[in-house]
Amino acid sequence: MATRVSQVRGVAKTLYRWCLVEGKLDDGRAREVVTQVLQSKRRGYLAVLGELKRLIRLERARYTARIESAVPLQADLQAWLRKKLAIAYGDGLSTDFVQNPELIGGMRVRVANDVYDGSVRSRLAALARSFGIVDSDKPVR
Amino acid sequence: MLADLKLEIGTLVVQATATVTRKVLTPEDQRRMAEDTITQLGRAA
Repeated sequence: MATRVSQVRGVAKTLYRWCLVEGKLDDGRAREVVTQVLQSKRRGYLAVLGELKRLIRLERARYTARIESAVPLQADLQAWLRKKLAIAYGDGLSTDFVQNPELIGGMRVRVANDVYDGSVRSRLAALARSFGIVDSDKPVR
Repeated sequence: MLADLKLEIGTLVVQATATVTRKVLTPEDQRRMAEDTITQLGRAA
């Protein structure tokens, strides 16, 4: 079983490398690879595709900034933020703006493992922790 | 007993703060908070 899992991972890694153009994930190449795997229908191809999807999702997360804000961000703020993110993470970063009223106020920016949280909700969570409330991540109403 | 009381007061404080904050925040406040986070991001980078 372990061998099979490691085989699936190995094949998926090889396929993933074929999806790269000059070291970066290429959508067109990835589509070609997936199409070929689907057509081949080799043994275990669904498991390989599942692993390939996971690798692609991880790579995408590295190059996507998820920006949550309590209210929609004005265009000038979006542009300013994109500029700052490009300085910090390079030009290839894509941005995903999402409205999240649970934040109450402010916004939260996540790029891979980096999180910049200036939301009211995070400050309330800190306040809750200071009272010894363990489950302070629960949405506050 | 005292710990339970602390938890209860804490929960009430957090809930009340959330409710009031949600009501009093103006669009200008929201903008200022967003600007603060962007500035913070620029400094951290």
